[in-house]
Amino acid sequence: MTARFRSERQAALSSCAMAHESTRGWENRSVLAERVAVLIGQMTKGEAEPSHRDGLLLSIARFQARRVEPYRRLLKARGVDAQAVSRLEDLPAVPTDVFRAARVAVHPPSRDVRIFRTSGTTGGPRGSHHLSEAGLRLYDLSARESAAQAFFAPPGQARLISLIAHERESPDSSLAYMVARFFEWFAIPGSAYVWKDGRIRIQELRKALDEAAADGHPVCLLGTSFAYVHVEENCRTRWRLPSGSRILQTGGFKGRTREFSAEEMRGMLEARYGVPQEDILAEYGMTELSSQIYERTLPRRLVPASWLRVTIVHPETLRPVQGDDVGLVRIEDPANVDTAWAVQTSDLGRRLGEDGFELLGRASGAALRGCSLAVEEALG
Amino acid sequence: MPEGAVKGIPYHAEGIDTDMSTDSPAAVPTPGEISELTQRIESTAERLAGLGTERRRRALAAAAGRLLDASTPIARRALKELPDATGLSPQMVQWALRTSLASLSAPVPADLAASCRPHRDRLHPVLPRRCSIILAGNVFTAGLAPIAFALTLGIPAVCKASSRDDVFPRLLRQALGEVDPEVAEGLAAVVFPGGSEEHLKSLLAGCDLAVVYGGDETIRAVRSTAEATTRLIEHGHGLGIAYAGAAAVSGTAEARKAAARIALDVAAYDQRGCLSPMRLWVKSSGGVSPRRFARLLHEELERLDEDLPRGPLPTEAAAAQMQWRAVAVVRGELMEGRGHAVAWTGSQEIPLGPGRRNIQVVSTESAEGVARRLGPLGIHLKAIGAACDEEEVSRLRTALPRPLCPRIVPAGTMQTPPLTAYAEGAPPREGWLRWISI
Repeated sequence: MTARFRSERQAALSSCAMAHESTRGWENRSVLAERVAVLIGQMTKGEAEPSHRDGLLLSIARFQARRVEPYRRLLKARGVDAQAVSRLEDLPAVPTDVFRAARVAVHPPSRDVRIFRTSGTTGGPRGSHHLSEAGLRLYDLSARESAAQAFFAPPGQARLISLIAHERESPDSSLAYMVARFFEWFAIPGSAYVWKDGRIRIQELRKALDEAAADGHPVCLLGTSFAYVHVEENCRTRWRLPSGSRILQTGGFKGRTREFSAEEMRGMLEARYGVPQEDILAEYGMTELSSQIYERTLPRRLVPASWLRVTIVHPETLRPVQGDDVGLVRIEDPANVDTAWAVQTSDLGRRLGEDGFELLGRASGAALRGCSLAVEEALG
Repeated sequence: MPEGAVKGIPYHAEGIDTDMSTDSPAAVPTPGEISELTQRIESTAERLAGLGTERRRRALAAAAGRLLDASTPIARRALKELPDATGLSPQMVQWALRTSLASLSAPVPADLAASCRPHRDRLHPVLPRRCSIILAGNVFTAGLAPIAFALTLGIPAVCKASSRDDVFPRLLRQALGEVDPEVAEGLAAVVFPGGSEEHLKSLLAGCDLAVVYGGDETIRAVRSTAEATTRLIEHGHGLGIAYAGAAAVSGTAEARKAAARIALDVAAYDQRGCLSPMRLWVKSSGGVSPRRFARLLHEELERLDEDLPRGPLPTEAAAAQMQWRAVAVVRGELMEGRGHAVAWTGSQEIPLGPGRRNIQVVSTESAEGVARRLGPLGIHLKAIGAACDEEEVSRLRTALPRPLCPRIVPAGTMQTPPLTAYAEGAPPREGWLRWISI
């Protein structure tokens, strides 16, 4: 056997091994995605324990440690061997800014079916979240289950009125995507988008709400904080929307113009639309996650869906804080099987009650983010 | 309350060491009280001018001496209160006091003195009646230059300290009061909430000259509030960069020396100042590679972690640091110390760090290459710390795009500009005086 033949054979074997590993890796990812789907279904019905979720999160973390280069580098920099760790809090989360700096994905670009991007209003590169087909299915599953439980219960009863752009107008907005899915899953005749061609159509909003007030059909208003403020400043009409109506508010002010506290915002919405404050809920989500977190009231707090794990961590050590100390919000989301199982935000928060937490704003100095800013830009 | 005192403004009777502990902060004065204060300070103009430049300079030097003399109560109070107020470590506070107050001991530069005299009977300087100095809170000694300038020239000044940190201006005022109450009468320090238009209006009403330190929002607020006749000297948001050229990378010994100087520039004021270098470019074709230089910088910053430790990290800074360091890890190599980090990213740049001793090192082929990269910073680029020879400095300077006008200084001296340093591309005395031309 000549040296050249040995060399060529070795190269061929290596290539086959990589292809096999790649295929096996993809199969593993498919298995994980399937397990996540089953978990979400089970946890929705209360048929699985948090320990099942945590075990799956650990599997996903270990998988991503091998497959997601930025995560591999973060682990190496921290001196953490994901295969040897058994506690989730000992594994670093991926800070949100990493999504601006690198591709965070298990799969190659050829398998992207959807790319969500951050608002891009901070002047720097936009963060991007790359979803494969299976990842997008998990996104849909998580969004549907959590929204159905938290906001649209019971679903199919209310007209949806969106002050958020249609996904056609904002194809890389995860919020626009989610709202478009809500329309597919939960909208009934009479539902409408009142954001068109880059602005809110106040007349159309007025018409939709007048109709609802007249015929007694409840509505679900979906909007960003800044969109609601825009209506407030450009419309004097006040409504008393029918019982069963709800308002979903997403995106804050992020330390930019026209700030309202959460209480002020709810007061304003109650006064404008006649919807009681207990039916005005905030949604907390971000481009880098596949799942969203909704508010519950009495007491008012953000309560993650049971398949998520939210920890408040110390800003320097990134270890869990004690009790209800203030720290940075860290979110572990198994639906992010394609990308980053754990995301580290720069949002300030603290534990509230047994099952929830509250947001206390952004650690200013960290990059501003959020769909509310994109709305602000469009509205000038 | 003694006659002439204003509620909320500490009043120091001649020669008495008044307790100015920040345990009991003074109440915020009303706009009306600020107006009274500005009028009172303005009324000292003739008396202050009549004391003469040399006496005023000696008073400033003596006040500086008291603040540096550990045996005096005021110096002890400074070391006790300034770390908490500024967020800097006690060692850094001491370093800052030592290096900045030293400039007050020097004689008034001949050209400064000369620039304030009539010229051939054709040009006669006219002092402002009063100067308002509005300070930011990131570098507590930043107010020293305008205060020293004002008093040296004989211009009464009301200093609006940052609501985040008003300890140093008040201590300086007190120290002056202890050594020369007549000079001290020409200076007052006041605090009011940032964003209060009414207070700002009162401060600026009838003011000939306003010296403003702060971000874009502060500058805009002052511009829109100041009267049309008020001359503004603006020191807006800024940053610095550093360059290690051929001489610095010629060998290990030279590289280590250069790294030590640059490390001091990074560590000073915890990299929070508008002169702090936020990125270091290192020439690539030398005896010491840029990566090796980054490692040397890391080692020197580790030494400073011991000698001049970083102050406590606020939550916001910790969050920004966490994000930036993660980006550095995924895009390059991160060298982390107890109180600093150096990101080596080859020739690729990552977003500027959050300060607090987090610095990126990038390789470059030449000084010109660095200069070409600086355009986007515009006039926000305040200083370049250069570890290179004169020839490279000249090439760097020549290649800077308009309108950039930083000070280019030897590495290690970025954060200790003399009182008479150029700033914002202008001579130090520019804007302070008006002239009658005949």
